[in-house]
Amino acid sequence: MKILKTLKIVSAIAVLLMATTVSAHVDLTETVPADEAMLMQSPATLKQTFSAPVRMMKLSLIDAEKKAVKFGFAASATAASEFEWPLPTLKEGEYQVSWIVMGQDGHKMTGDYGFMLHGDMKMEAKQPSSQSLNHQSHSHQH
Amino acid sequence: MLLLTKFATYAAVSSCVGSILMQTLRSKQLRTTDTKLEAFDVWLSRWFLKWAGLGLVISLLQLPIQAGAMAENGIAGMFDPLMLSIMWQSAVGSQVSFIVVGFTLLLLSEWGINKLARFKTILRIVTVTGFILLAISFTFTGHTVELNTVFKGLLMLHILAMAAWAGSLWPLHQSCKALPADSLVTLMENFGKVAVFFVSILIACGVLLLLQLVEPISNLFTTDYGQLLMLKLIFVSGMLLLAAWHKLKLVAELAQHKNAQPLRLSILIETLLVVSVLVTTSVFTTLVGPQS
Repeated sequence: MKILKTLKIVSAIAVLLMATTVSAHVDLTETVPADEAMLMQSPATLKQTFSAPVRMMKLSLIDAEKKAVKFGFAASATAASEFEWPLPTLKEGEYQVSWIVMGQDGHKMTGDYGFMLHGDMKMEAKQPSSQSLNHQSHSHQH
Repeated sequence: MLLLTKFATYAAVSSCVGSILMQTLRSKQLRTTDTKLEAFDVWLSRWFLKWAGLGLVISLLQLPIQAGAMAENGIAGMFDPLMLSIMWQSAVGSQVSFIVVGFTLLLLSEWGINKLARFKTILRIVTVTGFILLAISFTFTGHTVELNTVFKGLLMLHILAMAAWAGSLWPLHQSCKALPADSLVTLMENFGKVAVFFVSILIACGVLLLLQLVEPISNLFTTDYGQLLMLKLIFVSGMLLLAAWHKLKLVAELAQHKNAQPLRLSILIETLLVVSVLVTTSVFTTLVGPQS
């Protein structure tokens, strides 16, 4: 049991440290639509805001049938902190956005988030999405 | 894949720096026309060329490999012109260009020395320039990008000192078999003298970098990055103990008994340790970040 206790303490400290470290790493700070948003109408744009300039290498919007929605994404060598893409009219259902960016240090970051589009005014229970922004894997290259 | 290329780059840089250090130590020895010595010098020069060539090939592959990994499109992504051009314009591109030029200078200078011994001094300056470019290339990507110029300088020193030590081990191991005992003893003693200097630089810079990158220091125990760093430190401690033992005991014994076998075996163990150190470093600089 001592091990469990130690683990608890260590993980608590780790969480605190994670929150306080002066981090060189970039986060996705805001998205429109927001993660887990419930929308009543098709969003006009897809927008991501990062905490520092990054290069968007890949961005995909996947519908409930696992089909990619085409919205004219193209990777670009220009780094920016904000990206905005006009969207076609979407049909109702669940959507998932997956992104891959490269930081200014050549460091790769990935993540995904989701939103839901309701065609009618019937509010359903909110489905917690398993995607979270903190699921960012890192790979660095030197 | 990325890990492999990174490890190979470390190994190539080390082997090149180590070979040149050994060549320098060899040239400081008495000029004797012993076929054994000459054969060793030829081997050393070839060893250097092999690694510089490998380093060059790997660095040319780097851009497609990185592009493929970045876009997660597999093989197609490796040759996607858009991805390649984005990679080229990013920090990765600058890094690759420095590595390519660095290894090219090494190859040219060594080839020149074998052909035109007259220009040795100038060509060695070219070699050193190559080393400096290679060391600079390490400062373009990864966690150390955020650091200021002073720390980038420390990182470069750390890498060059590491390379001088790590890269000398295999040639030293070979020399135990290839050289006559007297030359071997002087070579080992001379290496022992310069090694103290390199190892001091290596550790001083390493500690300063660690304090800068791992903030707060308790992250050493709580993060993957910290734990891998600790693992590296354990391997390095092992290397240091072995190196001290070689310097203080085995080389002294070698001078008396002329039996290089124990030293040769021990250097082999040290070489395995240095490979572990480089593998560990490849992992924690590629897969995990100080804050991830």
